[in-house]
Amino acid sequence: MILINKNLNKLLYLLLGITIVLSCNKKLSFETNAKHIGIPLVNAHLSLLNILPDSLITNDNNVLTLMYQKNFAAVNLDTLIKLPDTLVKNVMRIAFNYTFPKGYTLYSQTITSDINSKDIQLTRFRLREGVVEITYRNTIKEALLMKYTIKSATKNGQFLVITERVPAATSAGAAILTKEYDLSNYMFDLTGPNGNRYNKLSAIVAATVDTAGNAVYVTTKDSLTLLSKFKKVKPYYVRGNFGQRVLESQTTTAIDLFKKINIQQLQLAKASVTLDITNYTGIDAELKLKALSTNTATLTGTIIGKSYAINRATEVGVGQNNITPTHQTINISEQNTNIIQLLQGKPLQLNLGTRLSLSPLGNASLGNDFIYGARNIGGLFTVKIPLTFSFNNWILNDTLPYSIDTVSIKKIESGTLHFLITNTYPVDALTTIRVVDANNNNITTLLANAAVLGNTTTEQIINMPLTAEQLKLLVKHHSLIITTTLNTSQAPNLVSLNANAAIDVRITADFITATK
Amino acid sequence: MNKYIYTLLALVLFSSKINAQVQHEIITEGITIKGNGAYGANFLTNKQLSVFNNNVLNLATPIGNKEYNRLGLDLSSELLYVTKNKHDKSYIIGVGATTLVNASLSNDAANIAAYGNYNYQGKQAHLGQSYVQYYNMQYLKLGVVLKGKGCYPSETQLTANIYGIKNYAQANINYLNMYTTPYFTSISTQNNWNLTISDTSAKAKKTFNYSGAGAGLNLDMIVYGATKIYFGLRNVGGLWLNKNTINIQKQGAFNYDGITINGINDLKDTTLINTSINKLKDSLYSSSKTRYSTQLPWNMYVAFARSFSRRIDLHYGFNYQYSVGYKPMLFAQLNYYLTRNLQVGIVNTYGGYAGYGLGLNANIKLNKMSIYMGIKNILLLPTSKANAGVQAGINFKLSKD
Repeated sequence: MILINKNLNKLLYLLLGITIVLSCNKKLSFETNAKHIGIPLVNAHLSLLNILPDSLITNDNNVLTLMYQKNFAAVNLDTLIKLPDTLVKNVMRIAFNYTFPKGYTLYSQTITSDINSKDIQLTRFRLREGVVEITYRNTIKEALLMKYTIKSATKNGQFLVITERVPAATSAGAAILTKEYDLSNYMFDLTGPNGNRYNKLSAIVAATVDTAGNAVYVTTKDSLTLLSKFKKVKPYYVRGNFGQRVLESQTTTAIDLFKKINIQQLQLAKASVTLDITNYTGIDAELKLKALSTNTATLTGTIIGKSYAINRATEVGVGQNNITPTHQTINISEQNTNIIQLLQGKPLQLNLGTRLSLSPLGNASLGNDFIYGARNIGGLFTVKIPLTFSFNNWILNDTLPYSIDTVSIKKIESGTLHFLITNTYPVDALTTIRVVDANNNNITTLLANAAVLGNTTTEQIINMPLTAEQLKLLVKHHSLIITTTLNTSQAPNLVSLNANAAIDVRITADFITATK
Repeated sequence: MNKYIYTLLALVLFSSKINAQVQHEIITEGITIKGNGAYGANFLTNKQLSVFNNNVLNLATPIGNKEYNRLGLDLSSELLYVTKNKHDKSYIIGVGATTLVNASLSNDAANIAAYGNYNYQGKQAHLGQSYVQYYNMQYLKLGVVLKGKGCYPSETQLTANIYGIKNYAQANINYLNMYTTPYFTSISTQNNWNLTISDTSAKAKKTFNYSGAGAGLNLDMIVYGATKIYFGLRNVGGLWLNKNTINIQKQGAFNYDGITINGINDLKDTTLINTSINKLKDSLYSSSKTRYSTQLPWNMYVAFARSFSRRIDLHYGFNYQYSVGYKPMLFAQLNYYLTRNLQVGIVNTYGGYAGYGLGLNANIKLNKMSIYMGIKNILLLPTSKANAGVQAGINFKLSKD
């Protein structure tokens, strides 16, 4: 009976326990077996085209090439041509004193003015934008109706005609009126009435007593003065003889090529440097490369001081912007200069001195040189370095901080990370991944000298097992050191990079869940 | 192995007074506290369920070969009060809670649910024709017990359960073929499935915070004679979930091969993972919120009991539950009365969520208190089917006689 009572007590306690557990509706914890689950994590395609700054890499004959380009020594229309400010100043008077009725034309005369363009002889020009500012000064005691017909300026077959009512003078003095008139897209013909001159601007000026006014007494001392000026002028096209000019240019430009690319392991033997001069103007020219230097070295060789003829471009029609430019390329190579020495110095600055002689043979085109505003004589400085290189046990160390969601990681007992890699770069890699503490002391090695062969389209698989102990260490610490040793297959021989080369990495997780 | 022995010893020790594995008695007057916990799976062994073995599944474990695989979990508890019989009538009031998980899985779905997808690399997995239901409910029970007289005296217990639904979920995987490439580099599926999840803002741990309501009627009946006849029909009714019920569905193809990285710049994108996961969710399924109703998992039993002597009687019959994964369960329970107030028995079951089970039970009556307890299955060998459970109950009679 005692035994029964003891058992009964135990039974009661057990019943009480079960009842409490069940009635509280608590989540009962059943142990479930570990599951072996795999999922894809990452699908990555990495090529140099997306590793390196875009603008620096180009596909040159199917070889990845570092390319750096910089414009230099642009000679444009603004440099060569400066249209004079004052076009015309006309003072109109009558020959005798007289009272003129309203509507009477006081003045009407054709004027041909020289525009002050110094030593250049313009035959035509068109403005992209610009205005003519006319200041009227009237001493007559009645308003005048002005009509200013510039026969040299046409747009869509129409002359430029300016009409204006100039107010009457008062007892206080002459009336002065200043106004601007748009000249955009007008083509100016400066060849004069017979078409064989230059810098000649023809116009007809007429002034009539205001038809809405009264008869007015005009003396010989009265006058109407017009002062015309070009303002805000942006030429679109200029034609003529621009004379012989010599433009000395000394430019200094920063080179960011070697800031972005570490060339320590790159070989520069196949580098090419070119100066491409393109002439969009109808002007013969001659370029002399006076000096080329960097912040670390100066270029020497036969090309320094040598003159290169740059032929004039040709155009179809006049002012139609239908141009065939000419090109001149100056190759700066290892054969004719010490260019490799310049590049090896990882220059950060390029100094270029040039002399550009315009029309070195004089007015050979008989006044038919031309320049379009947007087109010029310009040069393009290009550095091309094929990505040929060799690695001989080049070691990359990268410290990677991380943090792990401790709640999620508890669901994982152990596992394996699979790295499926296709590496078409000609580089073999040995990778070691270590967990380190805050002082970079090694805690555990997750991956030791895992090899990925280069230059192969075969998928290679690296398995990185993670034991339960390693997972705990991963959670406890927060830093990985990834060490990769790179070797080109035939070091120190150079290998080039195919433009289509890439590393495709697929990472999958294959883990075993924790039992619970 | 030690866990197995200790557990078996403990259960045998504490269950020396055990009642029916299949408990069909009408609730007697007084206060009764009952608890039940059971689970079974016809496609898993105890070892595979790791009840006694935490070791990682052997990867060479053969994939199962059953076409339909059943899994179930049933946890319930009740606190009841029955008034003293008066004019052949007494009344019942009580509260209870129940959690029920039912699943019917295709062979591949069962394997993946049990072991993961490791063994499916380079293979097609057919996960269709798989269904899962999950109920987590609390209820208030009200009812009456009627006693009938005559040639065949009887007792009839009529009760109604008013449910508060804590959580409900169901998955109908009509069609789902999944192909996993070697090394898990890609998982692609053809889909036709839907998922219903009750309002997730109804927290399970918050009192009276429900995602829906339900109502069910219960009828339990005993007819006394040379052979006692038991009949029961329980949980006939439905449940209604609120408008925040989540409906998720997917039809058509889906492929996932990891977060796509096209260049180093992508690695600097701190939102890449979240963006990728959102895109993955968007392409994986579409979801909406709506009201939802369904019927309760009703069950029915018919049983018989016959005495062969003063000390031996036999209780046998079958039990059926309307839920996925549950097959009609046959049972036969042989009871032996050690004394007038102490009964022990063994019970054989077949069906339900698992296959065969050999259980023990005991029942003891002490003055105004009676206790019962049962073990569903003592065949907890590592290689036997996962099939286990315990039942326990205690009744205190409050009246003086």
